[in-house]
Formats: sequence, C-alpha cells, structure tokens
Amino acid sequence: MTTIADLRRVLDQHADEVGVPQTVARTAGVHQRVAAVRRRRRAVAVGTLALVVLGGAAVAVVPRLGPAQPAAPTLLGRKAPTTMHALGFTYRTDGHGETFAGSGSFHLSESDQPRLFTWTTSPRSSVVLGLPDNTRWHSRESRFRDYVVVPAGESGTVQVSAPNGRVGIASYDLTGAPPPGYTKAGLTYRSDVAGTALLRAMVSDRGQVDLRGSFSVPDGAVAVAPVCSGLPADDVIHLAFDGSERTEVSGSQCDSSDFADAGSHVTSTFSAALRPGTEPGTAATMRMWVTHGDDDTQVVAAGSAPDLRMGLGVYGSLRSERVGGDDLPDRVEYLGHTWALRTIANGSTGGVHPSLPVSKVDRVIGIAWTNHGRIRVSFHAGTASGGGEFSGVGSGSIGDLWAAAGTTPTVTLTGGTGRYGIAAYERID
Amino acid sequence: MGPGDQAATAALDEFVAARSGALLRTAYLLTRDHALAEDLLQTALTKAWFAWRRIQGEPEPYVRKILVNTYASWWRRRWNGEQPTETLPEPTAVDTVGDAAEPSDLWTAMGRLPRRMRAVLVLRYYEDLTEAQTAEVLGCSVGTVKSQASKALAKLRIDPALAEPGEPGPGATDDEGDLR
Repeated sequence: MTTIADLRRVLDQHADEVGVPQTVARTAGVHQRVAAVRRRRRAVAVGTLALVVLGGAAVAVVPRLGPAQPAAPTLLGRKAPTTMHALGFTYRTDGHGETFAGSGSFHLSESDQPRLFTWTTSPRSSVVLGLPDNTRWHSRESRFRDYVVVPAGESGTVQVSAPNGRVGIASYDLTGAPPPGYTKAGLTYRSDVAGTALLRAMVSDRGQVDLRGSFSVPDGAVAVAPVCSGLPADDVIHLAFDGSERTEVSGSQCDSSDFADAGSHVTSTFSAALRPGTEPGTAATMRMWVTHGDDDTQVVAAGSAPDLRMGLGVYGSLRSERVGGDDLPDRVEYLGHTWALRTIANGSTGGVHPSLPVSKVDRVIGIAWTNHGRIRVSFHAGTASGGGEFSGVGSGSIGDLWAAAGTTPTVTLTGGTGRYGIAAYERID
Repeated sequence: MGPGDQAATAALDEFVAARSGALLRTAYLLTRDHALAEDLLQTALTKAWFAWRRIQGEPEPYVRKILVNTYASWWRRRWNGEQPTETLPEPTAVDTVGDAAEPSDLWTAMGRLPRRMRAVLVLRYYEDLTEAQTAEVLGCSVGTVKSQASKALAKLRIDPALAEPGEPGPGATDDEGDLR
C-alpha cells in the first residue's frame, strides 16, 4: 500500500541523487544567459538616451521636449540619415553625434529601449566598436552605411576607433513605427524573422477568450510564437494545431511584455506535417482558448478575462543544419542584423579542443552536441568566452557566442562521449 | 554594465554559491532529469537576475517561485532563431546518474503526472509548504491547490505502476495515510 509517507520518502530519496553543486559552472552559465537575454531585448517603452562623451569634452544633451523632432547631426562634413532601419524596425536620430580623432569613448546610459549607432570616417577607414558587454564590432563600411543595435538594458562605455582616420558616430532611438508584417493594437508579428516568413498571425481583441485561424502548411517545419498578458490567475490558455493540443500556459506565466516584436518569441517548432499525410499547401487550423484550470474542457465565458490579450504567429518553413547531432538554424538575428550559417566543424567529444579557422569578419558562434554523461563546454575567442556544464543523455546546444574578426574560436569539451559541432554565422545584411 | 548591475551580479553569485544546490534538488524532482534540472535552474536564476533589485527580503522564495512556474509552463526560447523543443523534453534515455537503489514505481508514476500536478506534490510533500504557501508560489488559489493535489494523488493511485489488483476506487486523501 502506498502512502503519503512513501511519497515523501521517494521525493527525499531522489532529491539526494543530485550531486555536489557545480556552482562555478552554474554561475558562468547564468551570466551567459543574462548577456544573451540583454542582447535580445527590444522593449518599446520610451527611454532616455544616450550619448555622453567621457572626459567632459563634450556632452550630448537630449532635449526631447515639445513636438519638434531633432535634426540629424552633420559629422565630418556628412549629414547623418534621419532614420535608419534594422530588422524591419525604424530608428530615428536623437540629434546627437560625436567625432573622434583615431579613437575615443562615450558612456551609454541604461535605457529600456534599444539604441542604434551608425558612423562615417574621413578618410575611409575601418571601424572598431567596443560595446559595453565586451563585444568588439568590426566594420569596413563608412558614410553611415553600417550600424549596430545595442539592446535595451545595456549600459557602460562604448569605445570607438578608426585606425586610419577620424570617425563620427551618431545615435538613434527606436520609433513606434511597426515593421512590415501584421500589427494589431500594438502587437506586431514581423513578416520575416531570421529569414523565416510569417505564414499567419492573429491577435485577440481585449478580453477575447477564443481565437481561431488557419494557415497554409509549408513544405518544412514551422515555428509558433504565442504571447499573452492579463490572464486570470487560475485560468489556463491552451494552444492547438489541427485539433491537437500542443501546449498550455497558466495565469502566472502569462506576462509577455514584448508585444512590439512578438514574432521573436518562438517557443515551439513542429515538423512539416502536423498530421501524418498532410500535404504542403493544405490548410491547418490554429486555436488559442481559455479554460478554468488544466482539466476544464469548456471555454470560459466571454468577458470573464477582461484584461486578456493573446497573439499567435506561425512562421515557416524553418531551415536548419545538422550540427553535432542537433539541429541549428541556418539564420539567426543578433545585434540588429541577420546572420547566416557559413562554417561547420564536427568532431567527437572527450577532451578534444576543436576550433574554427580565424576569419576576417565578425561571427556569431553556436555549439551543439550529442552526448552521454556529464559534459563541460568552454568557449573562447579573443576576450569573449562562454560555456556551461551539462549532464544526462541527449543533444543540446548553446548560442549567442561572439567571435570577433581576427580571433580564433576555440571550444573545449570535457567529459562524456559523443559528437560535437561548431557553427559559425556571418552577417548577410 | 552599470553599478546597479554589478551589485546585482555580486549578490546573485553569492546566492548561487549558497543556495542553488537546494533549488537544484527541487528542479530535479520536477524535471526528473539532471540536465533539464540544471537548465531549468539556470533559466530561473537568469530571470531572477533581472528582478534582483526589486526583491524585498530573502531571495530564495522568489527564485523558487520563478523556478516552479517556469517549469509549470516552460515555453523554451533561447537565441533568436534557435529552434526550441516542441514541449519540455523528456529524457531521451534513462539518466543513470545517481539512480535510486529501488525500482521506484511511485517515482515512475510521478513522471506521468501533468506538470502543475507534479509541482503541487513537490511543493506540498518535499518542500513541506502549506496549501496557502503552495498557492502563493504557483500564483493560484488555495482551492486550486487542493483540487490539483487531490487529482494528482488520484492519478497516482490508478497509475499502472502502482495499481494493485482489487484496489478500491477513488476516495478521500489523507496526508497521514494512504494515497486514497
């Protein structure tokens, strides 16, 4: 006979299976994730800006009073653009710019919105930006043809250098102009996220508790991006495709805040056929609805969740490459640009030190593995580093690793047995 | 990284060193997989970092709340473009790291419970939280905790791993007695 005491004993017994905490690896893993989240953030609230030159030589002031929009600065004899675009979003000049002879730095104050920076040089010169998170960004472009987006939440010193001349850098704020795609009541699904097209998006009216639609099944896997807010505590949102429930979320987790870029919140991927035998081009249904609790099959009464907002986007076809026994996407978005998978190095784990050849361009790195046993993954490329410790059986991956131009990305995998792969992404926009 | 970020980072590092072992045990009871438990814990700690300056008092209850709720509806997402799993992945094979000595049928049966029910049992019978405390962690009502616990125990009772021939049907639960 099984009793509550048995249940307590089994829980205690299995809790004791957890070994000695790997706090150093865990701390490093959390720091890496924090950095990754900060890069992604694109909050839409209006923040304050921006560009304050260190050393007191000059201060960029930010008069955003009244309806007058600031004019773009003229730097090194060239007028900066009034607006810039990154991943479909529109940024507008904040009126500030600064020039440096060879090199200099400025302080980037904390903001809850991303900032875009673009530059020009005289004479033509390469440019290196040292961002607050130690990312070193290299560019050969001038005349405001290149840019970098610093995510919301980043603050600190930005170093600027143009080894062969003077450099002028201008700063921009995110505007409320929606990117191409589907927008309703401030909730936006971009038409393209990391090279994957929006197949269908639907957004509820406030308080709507049942949302239905359909999309044309593509020839390949699809990704879904649900967001919600304002769900009552004990209610549950269900998500189903072609009548088959895939996932659910409870009230306490229904707190999406990034409605301006809901399409980047991909949470699930499904194979090409949601049902066996589904042909590309046929219609598949999609539905989000609310019930009281997990087991309730009845949709709650209209008006019972007056603050609820729900959105669901479907993207496809996803393209991926097999790397280290895992699937990595062939496109990613990073610092306001799109990057494509260009180089893969595969090998076997177990004290191996694989690396990719040095490159003349900046790269985003992903590492994937299929492993038995506890594995520790360490990544280094110049001053950039990352990694973590993982156990169990199966495949996994980490991304958001930065390999600046001229550095050699090196990976150390220790422990366990299996396969690994390193993928290098290069800018395509 | 500003001064506030540095302070939050230092405080989080100290917290991880002191308390993450206990949280990892809870994460393991929820996920039943060592790698997933570590992933869940790091996900929760990452979320906590961004709210660290707003935490009043001891951070552990706050982090535990994030951890349990992240588990209860884990919409996984990492770098923008990465393809997360369809649902919280179950272990692809038996994770033999530290398997219990006994072939625990009860442990097997718990693995078949829905996530929120499993979370209620872990909070009530491993963390020894009251029904009110469990409701606070899960962000639901005490009534929901009671019904989830009752349903969880009922599911365990009829699980093939635990069901005995001639077992009676569902009945009341008793914290000191049988799962019935």
